[in-house]
Amino acid sequence: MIELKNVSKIYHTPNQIIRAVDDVSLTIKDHEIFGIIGFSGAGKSTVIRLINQLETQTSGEVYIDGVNMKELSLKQLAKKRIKIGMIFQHFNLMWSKTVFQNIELALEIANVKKEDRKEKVMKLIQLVGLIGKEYSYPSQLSGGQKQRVGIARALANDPDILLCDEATSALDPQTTFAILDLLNDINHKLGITIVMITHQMEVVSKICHRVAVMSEGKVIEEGSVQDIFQHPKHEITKVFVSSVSSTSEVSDLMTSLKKMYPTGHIIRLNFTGDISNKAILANVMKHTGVEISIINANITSSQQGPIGILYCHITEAFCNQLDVVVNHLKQEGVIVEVL
Amino acid sequence: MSAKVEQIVKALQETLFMTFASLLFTVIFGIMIGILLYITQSKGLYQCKVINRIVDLIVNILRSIPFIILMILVVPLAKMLTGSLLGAKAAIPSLVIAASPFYARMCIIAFNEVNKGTIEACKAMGASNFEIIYKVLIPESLPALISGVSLTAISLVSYTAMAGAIGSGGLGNLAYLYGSVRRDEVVLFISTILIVIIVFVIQFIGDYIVMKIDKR
Ligand SMILES: Nc1ncnc2c1ncn2[C@@H]1O[C@H](COP(=O)(O)OP(=O)(O)O)[C@@H](O)[C@H]1O
Ligand SMILES: [Mg+2]
Repeated sequence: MIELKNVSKIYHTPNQIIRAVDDVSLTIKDHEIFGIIGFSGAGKSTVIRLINQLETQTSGEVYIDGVNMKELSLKQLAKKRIKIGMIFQHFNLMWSKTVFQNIELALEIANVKKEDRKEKVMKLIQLVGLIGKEYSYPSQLSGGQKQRVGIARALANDPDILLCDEATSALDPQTTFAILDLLNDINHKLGITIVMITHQMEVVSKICHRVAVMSEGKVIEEGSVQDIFQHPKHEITKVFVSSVSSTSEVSDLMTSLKKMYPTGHIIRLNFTGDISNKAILANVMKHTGVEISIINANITSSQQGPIGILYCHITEAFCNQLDVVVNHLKQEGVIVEVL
Repeated sequence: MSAKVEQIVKALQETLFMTFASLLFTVIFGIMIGILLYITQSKGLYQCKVINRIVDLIVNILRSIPFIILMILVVPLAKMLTGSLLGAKAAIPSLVIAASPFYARMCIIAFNEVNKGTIEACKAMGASNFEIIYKVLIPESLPALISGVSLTAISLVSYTAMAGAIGSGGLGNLAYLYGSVRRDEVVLFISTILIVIIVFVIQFIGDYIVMKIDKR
């Protein structure tokens, strides 16, 4: 279990004081995939680097399995870090070493005997799907393959925790999903706790169990991914939730929809989990007699089942029944917003 | 004629001896000073402003003294270390003192070019600072360290010519003696060509090794 208790990190630069992390308290349970989402500069990287003490907090406590991290000696900390893997946006592999040697380095640092290393490295190479690339140099690999090396290296000493700092942000969407699948797999197979930092809501929706939203150094919202999608409270969270629908250009979508449907009403429906499977719209139309047309739809899969966002249009003729429709939908557990 | 050939051969040997003997010490001291400056700089592995400032100052002072003067200043030290005032051996301390700060500078540049993220990744894996230096910093900066070695070797070749002033011998000294004092153009020409060849060979070997090990 990872616990942050009232942790702050303040940077003093010559011309300003930056509260990179501002009184953050979080508890990350064993075996879960915990997401931290926020815009650039929100303090996400600083938080994750506090977990393995690459940064030391200005105040507050960081506990891992009950051990107060700041009380460890340098040697004890190094030992603890062996059991905390970390992967990075830009992979951070050694260009001067082959795939095999890059992974082996982690074992060397942990003082694993030379005879035992080879077998372990080959196992890891197999786990991350890089067989045949053992003797390639990083410069000969694609971004996705480099991240697989990073993952293998991070898992080399059978860590309990895997920290991922924007691990998929430098990858194209397809590769992103492949890497997320791999991480999900690792979480299932090995039970490793994963802390996932990202600015992409797709990443959170795809593999995280719980998520914290950060802004300006603070955690502004926290909860299960399903909760966050269904009831986003904070404005920033809403932006992230709506960003999952189609492109992140939600406002663009809105203006174009408004142009296409200048009269009547546009409503946004937010489905999550099992309710996505019911024929809710059809039922509502049957009960109220109102014609509702779907003008834009988006469904993403998540750990808790599909998450769907529908944009619907109701013509002027039915305007007086708008409230009835909205109430009906709400009773079915759908989140409705009249735009 | 054969006396002249003998002289040229002897001078060539002296130049090669001075260059490579001092290069060996220069590389050792240069890397040590470079590492010291690298780790003590701000945000370094063992940040220490005082040590960094002092070493940096010494490096800069040594680098700004013209070699011909440095040599004279170092004479007493050279005598103490090598037991003689003259000859190729006596020139080595001043060559090393002149070239080490030069190479140390190149080492720092090479170290600072190593990706900070890579170093951080190794820290996160539980590496000690010592492991970071010899398992990450040195291998990741090796091409730049090696091209620094060939550049330093080339400067040393031209320093050895000046070392002739304290009677170290060598090709530079021979060229100077025959060219300006005895007006023997053939020896002047041959000595010069040999120096140029040495420089070319050093450059070629350096570039070749860098090309072979650079996997970026
Ligand atoms: N070493 C540092 N020195 C000064 N400011 C820093 C340092 N690291 C991060 N910051 C500042 O702290 C804030 C949070 O940074 P970071 O944690 O990297 O955000 P994120 O990962 O969410 O983009 C930013 O304003 C950033 O400029
Ligand atoms: Mg970041």
